[in-house]
Amino acid sequence: MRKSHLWTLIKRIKKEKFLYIMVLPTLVYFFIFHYIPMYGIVIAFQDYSPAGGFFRSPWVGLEHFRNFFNSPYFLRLLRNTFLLSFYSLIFGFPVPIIFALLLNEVKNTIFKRTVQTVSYFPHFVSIVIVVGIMNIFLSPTDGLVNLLLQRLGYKPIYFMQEVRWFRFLYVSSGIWQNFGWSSIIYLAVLSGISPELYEAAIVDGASRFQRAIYISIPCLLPTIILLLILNIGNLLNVGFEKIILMYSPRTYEVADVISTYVYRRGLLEANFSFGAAVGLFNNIVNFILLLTANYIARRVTEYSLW
Amino acid sequence: MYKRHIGLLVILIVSMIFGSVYSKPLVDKPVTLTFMRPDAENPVHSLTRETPLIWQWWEEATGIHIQPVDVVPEQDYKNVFNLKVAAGQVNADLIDVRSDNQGTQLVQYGRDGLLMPLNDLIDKYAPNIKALMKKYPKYKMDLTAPDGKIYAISSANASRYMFMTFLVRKDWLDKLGLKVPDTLEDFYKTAIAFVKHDPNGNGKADEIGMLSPDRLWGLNELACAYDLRLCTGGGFHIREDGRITYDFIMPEAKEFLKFLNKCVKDGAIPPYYDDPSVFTGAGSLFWQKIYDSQLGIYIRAIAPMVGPLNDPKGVMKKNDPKARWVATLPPLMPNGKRAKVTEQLAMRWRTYGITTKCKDPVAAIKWLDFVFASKEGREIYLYGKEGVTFKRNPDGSIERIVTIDTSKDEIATGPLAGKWWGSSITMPILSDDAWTEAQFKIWQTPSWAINSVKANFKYLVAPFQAPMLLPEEAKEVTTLLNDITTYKNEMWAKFVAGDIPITDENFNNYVNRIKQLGIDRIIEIYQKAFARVK
Repeated sequence: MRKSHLWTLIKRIKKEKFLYIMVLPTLVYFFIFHYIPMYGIVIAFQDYSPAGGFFRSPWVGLEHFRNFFNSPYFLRLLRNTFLLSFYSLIFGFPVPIIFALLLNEVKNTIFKRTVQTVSYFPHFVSIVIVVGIMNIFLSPTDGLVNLLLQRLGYKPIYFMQEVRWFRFLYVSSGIWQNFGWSSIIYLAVLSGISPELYEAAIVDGASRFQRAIYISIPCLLPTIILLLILNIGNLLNVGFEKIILMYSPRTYEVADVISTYVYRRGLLEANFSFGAAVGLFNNIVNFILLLTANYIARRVTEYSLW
Repeated sequence: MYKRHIGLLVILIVSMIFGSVYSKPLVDKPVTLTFMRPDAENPVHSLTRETPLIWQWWEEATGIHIQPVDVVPEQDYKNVFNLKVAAGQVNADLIDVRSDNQGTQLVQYGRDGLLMPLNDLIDKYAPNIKALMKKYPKYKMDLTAPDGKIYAISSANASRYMFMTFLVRKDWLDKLGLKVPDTLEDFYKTAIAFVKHDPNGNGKADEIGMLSPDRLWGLNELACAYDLRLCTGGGFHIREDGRITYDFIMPEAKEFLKFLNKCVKDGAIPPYYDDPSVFTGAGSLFWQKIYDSQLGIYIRAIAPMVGPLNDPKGVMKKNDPKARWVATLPPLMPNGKRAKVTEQLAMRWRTYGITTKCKDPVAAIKWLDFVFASKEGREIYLYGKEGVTFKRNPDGSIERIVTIDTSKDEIATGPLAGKWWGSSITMPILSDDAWTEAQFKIWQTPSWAINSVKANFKYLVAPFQAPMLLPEEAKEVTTLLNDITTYKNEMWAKFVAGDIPITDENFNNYVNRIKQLGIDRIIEIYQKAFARVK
């Protein structure tokens, strides 16, 4: 029985050998760059010193994890990380879908192409520059936004300094930067929908809006769920680059996240084991979230990652 | 026959050139050493593109070629360096070690075998550094690790001029009939007067009272008026009875917070005093404000800054010929005594070490000795090359032949920088009074400005510099201090901005929280370290 299984597999590989060859580079990539480096996780349980390396550094067990959980900032870091990510998800996730649906209805090709290109562009701008642009536009002394506010008779707002503005700025600038790029995948799905469906709907007298609701969205749904699950799996990954560029002690309260804390303690103080331990914790939580989201999606809808 | 003559001539010329250039090289044959260090501050003079002239001149004098490797911008250096160390990929002969001021990394790298102990090398091959350490025992002590070894040479400062001070626009004071501020209250009143009475006379209310390029952290320098040391030394302070205090939680700190808060509220300090968007980047708004004649009091300036700011050929004078900057005295304390200003000797956060992988440690220590502590090496650093940039008068004094248009570089790198001797290629250098005075000569600094700086000499005091800690101690201190600093910075910023009112209750909560986070344990470790050195 087993043998015949193996036999069919070999036969299938032979038959589809070109497909398998095309997959090969990806597999090699994942093995070399994502699986081999995993042995580095051991330093999370060691007191890593560069001189000792992986083999001679002393083992400390779960000390670094305990350190992190007992840190006075643990809960705040967790809350900030989660909230920034969560807001980015609930406000940022629908935007590219809506954008793709709107763009799909545009019939003028030149206009459509232009809008698409313009909306992709911010994705290629580095984060440093995005934050630089924010600094220039929001500057309390000579920023455009504040000059306008002053003209209208309001007092200048210190956007980058005030606690209540931080999350809004972080999330909205993130949406601005990425919605165009993220909409590509939805546009691709939309362009793959058979025109016959729309034609049939037109014959039945469906309006444009109805066509979007009853044809476009259901066809998009598998993709939406797939991306949502993947995004939920990244919920605790908030990159430190942008936050480090944006925050200041006055906004630590809402801005300090796990990765910035790790940056200060792990990298700047060369405390690599601690950094690795927190990273591992982060990934385990993300993994659990991913499994949960996938489970719920499978139960509620018929679509899921696996 | 004829050909042989030409050959002889060539040999003669070559030997003449080399004979004069390599008058007394430090090494028998040319040596190349690799040097891992951050890039020049001014990207125009990036080390990836050009070798600083000074390095070339040093090479001519020593026969040692320095090849920069792994050049990255200054702000990324510490990260890259840490990662390279962790990966065991530091292969350079000489390295710029970015340690913290406790010397934690020096001890660590020494123990891990990355850095070579220099004691014997200094003894045998570095007469100038040796003499220096004899002359300034404190310098040697500051660089000696708990195991008795010296792992790196640091920039050093024995110039009394190199302290942090407050600069004020004398011409504005005269115009408004004010005197140089003498107490904290004076600082406040002067700043308010500057803001209100349009001393730059352009009819616009664009004047700023006080500002520091180091943002809120820099404004803390004013706390010396309460006998608090909040900037240099990270808030730690050895009192006269030998007790160490953490000044951010002293009762006086509350009074100082109230002062800062008042300044911010009433506009003596502009509301963007801590806004990174105002201060980040070269040619920052801060310097624009100075050059546009909008700033009245410059908090936490390095005292020799009176040089470039009063330079008749500098940007400041070009923009506003009337501008005159003087240094104030440290403010009077509430008890009527004058506050102290802190000086600095060894700077452990900027040190240069020789790696254990170094091919030629003898040449490396000789080079460090030459550029760092020898008379010739420092002369090149300060004046350039004889016959090219300066000439020696019969009476022994030095005169510059080439004057460099520093104004072009200044905005990009700050006034203390310049292509020839400036900070864009900062090297370990011992500065002393003569060194700074020579710089004043270059800037043609008027004597009233120099005298205003000199008047501070009586009030100089050594900063807090803990002896290097044992690795276990250092680890405990950094871990505890990290959380404390995060909390302190956050609360301090909020107190000053008025986000949290400075009441007894709030302040006590803040003090208690810092105690909870383990400040007493850190002080205990420091006390122990001091006892060990004694």
